[in-house]
Amino acid sequence: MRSGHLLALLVEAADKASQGIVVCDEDGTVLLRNAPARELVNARDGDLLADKAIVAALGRALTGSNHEETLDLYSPTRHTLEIRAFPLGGAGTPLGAVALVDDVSELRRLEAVRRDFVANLSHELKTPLGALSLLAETLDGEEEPDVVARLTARVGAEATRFSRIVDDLLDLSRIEAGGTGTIAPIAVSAVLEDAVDNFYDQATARNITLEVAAVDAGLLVMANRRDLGSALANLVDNAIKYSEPGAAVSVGAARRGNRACLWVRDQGIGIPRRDQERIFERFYRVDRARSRSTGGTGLGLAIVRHVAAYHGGDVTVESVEGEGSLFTLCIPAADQELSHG
Amino acid sequence: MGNFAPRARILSSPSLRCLQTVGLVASAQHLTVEETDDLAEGQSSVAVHLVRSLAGQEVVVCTHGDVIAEILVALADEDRLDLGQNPKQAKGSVWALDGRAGSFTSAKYSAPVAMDAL
Repeated sequence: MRSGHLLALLVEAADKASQGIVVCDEDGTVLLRNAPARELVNARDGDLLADKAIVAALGRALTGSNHEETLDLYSPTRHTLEIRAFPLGGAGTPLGAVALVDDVSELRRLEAVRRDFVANLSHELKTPLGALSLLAETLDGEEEPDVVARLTARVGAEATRFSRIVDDLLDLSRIEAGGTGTIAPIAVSAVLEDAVDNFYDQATARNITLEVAAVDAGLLVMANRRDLGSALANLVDNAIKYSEPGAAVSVGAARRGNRACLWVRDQGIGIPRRDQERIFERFYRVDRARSRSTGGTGLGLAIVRHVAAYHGGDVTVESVEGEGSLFTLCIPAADQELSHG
Repeated sequence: MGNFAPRARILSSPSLRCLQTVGLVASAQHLTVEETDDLAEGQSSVAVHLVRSLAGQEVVVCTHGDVIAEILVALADEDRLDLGQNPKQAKGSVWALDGRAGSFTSAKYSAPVAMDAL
């Protein structure tokens, strides 16, 4: 193979690489920028800074030593580049240098998410355990029956809370991995009726009306029944917990194009606008005191979001403080419905 | 508790044992004990609210074991207050809480001391 042909192939291969590659000669003159590296040069202000950093890294490599640096850019959005430069043709008197550039923005973001999750998880597990430790010591030597009964009930509540967090974590982990159950056509009306049946006693105990308000007849979804039921249960549970006695909670479903949308509406305390984008994050709570008193784990809406996502759908919220909230979970409708409809 | 003097105010549950507990400190500091039902046995959310309102002030608060547990759990949860690995609260013990502007940043436990040490 001729060297010219080999060079052309190597240049083309470099263009296919996902990382930026920049090669210079012994004078620092750039001989090659592959496609990702050219994008950096031709792009916006922040990336011009990146190119300057790459050229500087090549200059350091030409002194005979390897060079590594991380560059945080904030224009127009934050991203992070890792630049590594190496001398070529021998470290003593390099004949050139190569710089390899990786965009590690997404990796860094995921690392930050993981760190936050571990920190949040530690806190969420530590809180009920700390409560159990304090309550146990308070119980020790307590003789007044009323106090003992109250403390014992609190111990039970904290143990339940701990258990729910673990259960929800396991559920979330399974659902995040794409679920494990069978996806099959399911009648939406059956899922809604199950949710109402399962929470009827809880709603009645709080003097809250719970009903299926409307559902398109014959509407089917392709879904894992357990997970869809779990998502709906979380929404209904929240609607009841965050409503005052005498309020109404209703569920329903309707076809929208090729999707089926299941909704849960309440007349509860509502969600401040600033929190509405974050409520689906794991362990995010609008009001920690209220969440603690209602036994929330902070994972329910994260479960709903992941159930929607792995069914190829999404969940949205509309809410006005003091008036109530409407959660809508939309996933693809089953084909059978189309043929019947 | 003597280690935490001087304080500007002393708040207590109306129960006799609480009043007796802080009475010695009050006498030594020439302060009057302020009784409040917000710290009475069985209170929780109102006690949490009261303590939160005192963040940053020099105040001694005396209340009951179950109320202390509720206060500490709430502050640990809401303010991410570190209570240590195995939080304690023996009768006669003291938790010293530091904070300001409605939230707390640190908590330190002191085991009960003999009354004659006060």
